[in-house]
Amino acid sequence: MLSEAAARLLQSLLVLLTMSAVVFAGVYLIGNPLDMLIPPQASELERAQAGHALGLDQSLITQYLLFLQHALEGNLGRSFFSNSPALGLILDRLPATIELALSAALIAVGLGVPIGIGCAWYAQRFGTRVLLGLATLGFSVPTFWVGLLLIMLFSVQLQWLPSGGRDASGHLFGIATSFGSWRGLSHLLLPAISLALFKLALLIRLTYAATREVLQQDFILAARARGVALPRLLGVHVLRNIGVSLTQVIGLEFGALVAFSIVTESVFAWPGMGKLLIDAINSLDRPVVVAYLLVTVTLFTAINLVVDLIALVLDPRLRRAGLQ
Amino acid sequence: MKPRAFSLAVAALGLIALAALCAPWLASQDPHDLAQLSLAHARLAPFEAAPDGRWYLLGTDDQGRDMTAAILYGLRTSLGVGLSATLAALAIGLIGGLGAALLRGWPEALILRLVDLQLSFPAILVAIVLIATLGEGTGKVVSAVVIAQWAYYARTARAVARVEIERGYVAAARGLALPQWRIVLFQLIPNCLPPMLAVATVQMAAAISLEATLSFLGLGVPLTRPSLGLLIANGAHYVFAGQYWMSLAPGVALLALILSIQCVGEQWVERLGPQGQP
Amino acid sequence: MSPATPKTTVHRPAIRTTVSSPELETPLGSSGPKAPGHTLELNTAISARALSVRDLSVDFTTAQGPLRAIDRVSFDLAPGEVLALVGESGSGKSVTARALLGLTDPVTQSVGGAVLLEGESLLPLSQAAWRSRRGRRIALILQDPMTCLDPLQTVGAHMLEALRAHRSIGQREAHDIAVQALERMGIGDAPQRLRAWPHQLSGGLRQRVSIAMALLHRPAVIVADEPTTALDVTVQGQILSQVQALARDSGTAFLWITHDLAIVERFADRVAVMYAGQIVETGQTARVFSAPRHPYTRALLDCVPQRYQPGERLAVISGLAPSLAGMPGGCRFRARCAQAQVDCSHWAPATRTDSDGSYLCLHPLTP
Repeated sequence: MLSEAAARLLQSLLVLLTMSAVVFAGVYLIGNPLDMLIPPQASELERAQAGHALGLDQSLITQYLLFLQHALEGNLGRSFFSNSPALGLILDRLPATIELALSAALIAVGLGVPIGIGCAWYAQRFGTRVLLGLATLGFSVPTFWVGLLLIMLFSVQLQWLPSGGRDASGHLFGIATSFGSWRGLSHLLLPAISLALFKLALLIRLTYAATREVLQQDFILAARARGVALPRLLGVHVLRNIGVSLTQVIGLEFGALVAFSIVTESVFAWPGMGKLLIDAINSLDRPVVVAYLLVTVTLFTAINLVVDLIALVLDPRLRRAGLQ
Repeated sequence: MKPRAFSLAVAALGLIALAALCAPWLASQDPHDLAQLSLAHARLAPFEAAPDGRWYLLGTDDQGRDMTAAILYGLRTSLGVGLSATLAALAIGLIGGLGAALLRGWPEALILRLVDLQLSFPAILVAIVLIATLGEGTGKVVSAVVIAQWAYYARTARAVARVEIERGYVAAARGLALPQWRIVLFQLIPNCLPPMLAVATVQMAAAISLEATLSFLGLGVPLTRPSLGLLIANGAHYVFAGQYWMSLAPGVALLALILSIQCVGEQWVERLGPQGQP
Repeated sequence: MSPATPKTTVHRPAIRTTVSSPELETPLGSSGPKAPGHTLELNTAISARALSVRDLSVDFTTAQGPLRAIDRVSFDLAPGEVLALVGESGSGKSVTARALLGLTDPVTQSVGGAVLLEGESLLPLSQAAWRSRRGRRIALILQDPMTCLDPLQTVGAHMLEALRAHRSIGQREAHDIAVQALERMGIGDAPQRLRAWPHQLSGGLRQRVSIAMALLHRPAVIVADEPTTALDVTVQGQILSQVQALARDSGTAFLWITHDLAIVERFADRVAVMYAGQIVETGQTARVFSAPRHPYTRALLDCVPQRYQPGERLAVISGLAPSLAGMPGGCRFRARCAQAQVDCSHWAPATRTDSDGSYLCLHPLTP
C-alpha cells in the first residue's frame, strides 16, 4: 500500500513538471516573455536588466531551469499594477476561493449523493422522475445566470440576503472566515448555492446511475436476503461501492468548482482569486495570470493525488499487498 | 415516455433554430444598427409604453434596443459559435482519435496522454486562460472552445475506432488489400460518426454555455455582436435597480436553447448504448 | 425466538410426534428407492411444515398490462426436507425464490397467493416484519459466488452484519460464532479467513461463506438458487454433502433450485418440475426419476447424458419455452409435447394430486 501511494506521489510530481513546462512554453515560446512579465511602461534599460535576470540571453533549457527555480522559490514576478509579488496576491485571495468552493462542494455532495441514492432506490416513482428532470434542468442552466436569478430574488425582491462581498470578520478555530459569523454566512450563502447548483445536478445524476448499477448486483440481493436493514444497505453497501468512483468524480469536480468560482466570484463580487484573475486579464496584468495558473495547477494535482489515495483506502482490490 | 420527451426536445430545438434563422424577418429592428435605436426608449419594462406610445413584448435594454430583437440576434451568435466550435472540435477529435487507433504505438500513447491531461482541467479554465493569451474576438472564442473540447471527441473516436478495427470487417477489408484511406473513409468514419455526433450534441450544449460564460465575463464575442451571454451581462448592471427583464429574458432563451440541445443529445447517447458514451 | 438445537433431527419435536412420515427418518439424499404412498402432502399437518406455498402468483407490470411470470404455484416443505425445483432457465424458478423472501420489486411485480413460513403467513407482513424474518427464519443462497459477496467488505464484516441484523451481539461473541460457522462449513483457518476480502478467496470458499451465513441463525428454510452451478464438480460434491449433513443436524429445509438433474437424483427428497411459470409435476425423487408422469419431466430426464449408453443418440426438447407475452391457452407445453392431443389446445389442465405427488397434464404418461 505504501509503495502504491509513493507511485501516485511520483506520478503527481511528473504531472506538475509537465504542466510547468506547458506554462513555461506558453509564456516563453508563444508570447514574448518581456511583454508578459515586464510592465509595458518600463524603460529600455529596465527591460534589458529584467531580460538578463530571466536568463533570456541563455539557452532554452537554462531558461526553463531558471523558471523552475524561480517558481520553487515562489518568485513568479510582480504585478504590473500593485508592484507586489504576484504569488502573494494570489495566495491572499486563495482562502476566500477555497471557502466558497468548499461550501459549494458540501452542498452538492451533502444533497446530491443522498438524493441520487434515494432516486435509484425509488426508481420509477413519480417523485424520482420529477427530481431527475430537475437535475437535467440544473445541468443545463448556466452558472452565472443562476447567480443573477438568486440576486434578483433574494437580494433585490425579498432583500433577505446581501448580493455580494465577503465578510470574514468572524473567527472559527482562530481562522478568519465567513463561517465565523452569521453575517459572514449570509454573504456566503448565495454564491455557494449558485456555484453548487450545477455540481448538485451532476452528482444527483452520477449517483443515481452508479447506484442503479450497484443495486443490480447480486451482493445487494444477498444482503437483503440476510435481513440487512435499508439504512445499512444504502449507507454501507451502496455508498461504499459507489464511493470509489464517486470520490474520483468529486475530486475532479472540486477542481472544477475552483475554476468555476471565477464566474461566481465575478457575479457576487466575491474577493477570491478567480475575480483577481478576471481583473488581471482585463488589465493585462500577466504575472498575476501566470501565478494563478501555477497555483491552480498545483492545487489540481494535489486534489488528484488525494483522490487517488482515498481510492486506495476505499477499495481493497487496488492494494496489491494484502492478506492471502 | 422517453420517445415523447425526445420529440418534444427536437421540436423545441427546431423552433429555436428556426427563430434564430429567421431573426431578420421576425425582429422589429436590427439591434446591431445603432441608427435604429432611440435612447428615449431605453430601459422600458415589458409592455411599458414609450413616450411615443410604442411598447415592447420583452422590454428594452439600456440603449433602447428591443429585447426581443436582441435575443433573436443573440441566438444567432450563440448558435453560430456553438455550431462552428463543435464542428471544428469534432473534426480535430476525429482525426486525433482515428490517428491514435490506427497508428498505435507511441502516437497513440502521446494522444491519450494529451487527452487525459486536457480532461483533468475544466474546460472553463482552459478557455479563460487561452482567451487571456490569445486575446478576445469571436474567432478566438471559437478556438478556445475547440481546444477545451477536442479531447472528448478524440477519446470517443478512438474507442469506437478500436472496436471497429477489432471487428471482422476491417480485417476483411485489409484482406482484400483495400488501400488504407478507403478503409478509413468507408469503414471507420461512417461507423464512428453516429456516436460522435451524439457526443457532439451534448458537447454543443456545453460549448454554447461556455461561450455565454466567456461573454458574460467580458472575454467573449465583441460588443458589436452581442451573444446571449453578453446581453445577460449588460442586463446584470440593472438587476439591482429591479430592472430584471434585461437579464431574465435572454437567460430564459439561453436556458431553453441549452436544455433542448442537452435533452436531444442525452437521449441520442442513451439510444446508442454504452459504446456512444463519451 | 430460538431455533432448534443442533442435535434434534426435526425442527419441532412436539408436533413431530403426530407425524408419521417414514421419509423423515431416512438419511437425506439417500438415492435408494423410497416406499411409495407415504407422501408429505397426505400425512403432514400444516403447522409441522417449514414452508407452505399456495397458489403463489407473480405478475410483472408492463406498459402492455400485467404479465404472469409465476402461475398458481403450490408446494410444501417439511423440516429437514430437500425439495428440488427444476426447470429450464426462464421457467420462473428464480422469481419464485425472490417472491418467497419478499424480494420482488413492489412497483413492477405484484405477488398473490399465500406463503406460510412455519405456519405464519408472510405476504400480509409489513416490510419491517418481513425483513426480520429474512435471514433468520428463511435464508437465500445465490448462484454466483463471485458476485454475491460485497467486494468492499471483509468476510468478517459480512458475518458480523448478518448476525447483527437479527440480534444485538458483541464483537467478540460474534467473532466466535462466525469462526464456528465457518468451521462447520469445513473452512480451515477460520479466524484468518474472517479478515480476508472476497477477492482473495476462491469461488468454492466464497460459496461456503455464503452458505455458512445462511445457516447462522438456523433458519427453518433455505432457498438455494443454483448454488453450486458455478463451481467445479469436486467442490460441488463436497459442498453438497456438507449441506446435507447440516440440514440433517439442524432440521433446516432446503428449496434447492437447479437444472442439474444429476444433483437432484443424488440429493433431493422430492422434486418439483417447473415449466413456463407453472409446477407441472411433483413427487418423490425416486418415483419421478423412474416413472415420470408429465411429458415435460420425461423429456427433461431424456436430456441427461448420464442416462445414456455410450454411442446412443441424445434427445433434445424441440422448440422453445413460450414467452410471458405469448403464453398459449390450453396446456403450455403442448407445442413441444410428443403426446399432445387435440384437447390439449382447448383445455388448460388442472393440478391433480394423489399419493404419488401431483401433475398438471391431461394425458399423463403413467396415471
